[in-house]
Amino acid sequence: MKRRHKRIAFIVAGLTGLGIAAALALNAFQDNLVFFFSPSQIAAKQAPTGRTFRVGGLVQEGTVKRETDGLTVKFSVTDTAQSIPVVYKGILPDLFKEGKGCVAQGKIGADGVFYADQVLAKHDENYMPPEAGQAIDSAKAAKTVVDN
Amino acid sequence: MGGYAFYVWGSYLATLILMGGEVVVLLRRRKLSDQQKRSTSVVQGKVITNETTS
Amino acid sequence: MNWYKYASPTNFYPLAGKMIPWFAIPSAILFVLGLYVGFFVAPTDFQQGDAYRIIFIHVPSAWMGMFLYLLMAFYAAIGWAFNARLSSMMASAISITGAMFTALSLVTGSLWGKPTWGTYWVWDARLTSTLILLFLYIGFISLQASIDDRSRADRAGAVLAIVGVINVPIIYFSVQWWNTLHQGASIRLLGKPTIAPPMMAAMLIILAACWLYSIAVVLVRLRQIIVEREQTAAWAAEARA
Repeated sequence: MKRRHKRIAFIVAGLTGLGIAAALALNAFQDNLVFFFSPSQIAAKQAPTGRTFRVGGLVQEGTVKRETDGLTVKFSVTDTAQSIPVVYKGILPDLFKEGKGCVAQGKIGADGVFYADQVLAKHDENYMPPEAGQAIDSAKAAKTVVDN
Repeated sequence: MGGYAFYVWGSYLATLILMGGEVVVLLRRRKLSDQQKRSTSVVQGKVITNETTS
Repeated sequence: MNWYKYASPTNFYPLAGKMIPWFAIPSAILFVLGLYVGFFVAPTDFQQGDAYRIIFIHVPSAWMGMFLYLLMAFYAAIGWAFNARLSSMMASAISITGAMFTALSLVTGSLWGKPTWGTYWVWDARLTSTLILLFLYIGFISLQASIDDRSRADRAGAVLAIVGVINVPIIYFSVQWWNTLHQGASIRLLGKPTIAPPMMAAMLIILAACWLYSIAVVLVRLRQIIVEREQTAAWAAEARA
């Protein structure tokens, strides 16, 4: 009797573990295999309409504007090909900056504006001292001047 | 820590708790089984003496 | 030297005991050195300020979680295939340390995510697959604990460990295969690292410390498992007699 109990416990434990793993995997891979859509995908109507999804890309330079209430922020997210205007009311993460990556979660309105209820900063894998960072920024700035 | 003290120290505190905790649990497990070994050998000794007397 | 001799748990036991200090002491020294370099030598980051200093423990613990899983599955497989008891015991000894490091990487990662991304947790592919790794470890540990018959417990654990190996490359490549919030790898097998040298030094020293820590702790636990199993075997033999 005890042996059978053990075996049943074993099967139940195994199936529960497998079930949780499969559920998590499905949850992750169905909705979040594409964790976010790019502005180009949204322009091509590949993003879901009417339900919450995420848009990811770079915060377009010179587009971040704060409303007078001090909380509402308007900016554009771009993947350099397409861009989408975003409206967000709330506190932005410290690393949210123009020209840097971000992921906004929300719904797209009939007016084509993305109404975000959460904005996350997506930082890159580069780690360096501030002086080196400044050097790279100024080199980039010099390059854009030359390009123009 | 430039306003990030909670997160940075929190991380290293978590490290201390998890790694230190693992070591403490492991050493306690060793102590416990040492004690058990000693007590069982005493019990076994008694069993043997009982058997020889009966 | 007859290496085969040490495949027997009773012969391995005293050897393991002698080896432990050789890993434990350098591990402690490297931890202190790594933290010194990490907090006093490495500069602040140009984007993240001091928040990035979590990387020194986050990345090594995440790597350890993955490496130890592969190692655990390898030993479990050897133990199963060749009926090598010591190898199966090694897998059991590794599992708890691997689970600890995986949990540590999740905790430190979430403490890093809040100030940088703006959230403690997101269900992106990297984070989700790492959580699954923790569940695989927990599944392995509880599966072994729930079966009384040691050889059956070892076999069942081996099956679970081997099936779960598929998750490790998924974790590693998730940031390349899919859109994730988690950033890509800063240190790659090929190509230049995208992390400044003193920062990388601190991370690698702590990685070495974590390896030595793991070896020391696993050996202590392995000795413990040998004692406990031999005791049970002795009691069982006595009960039958």
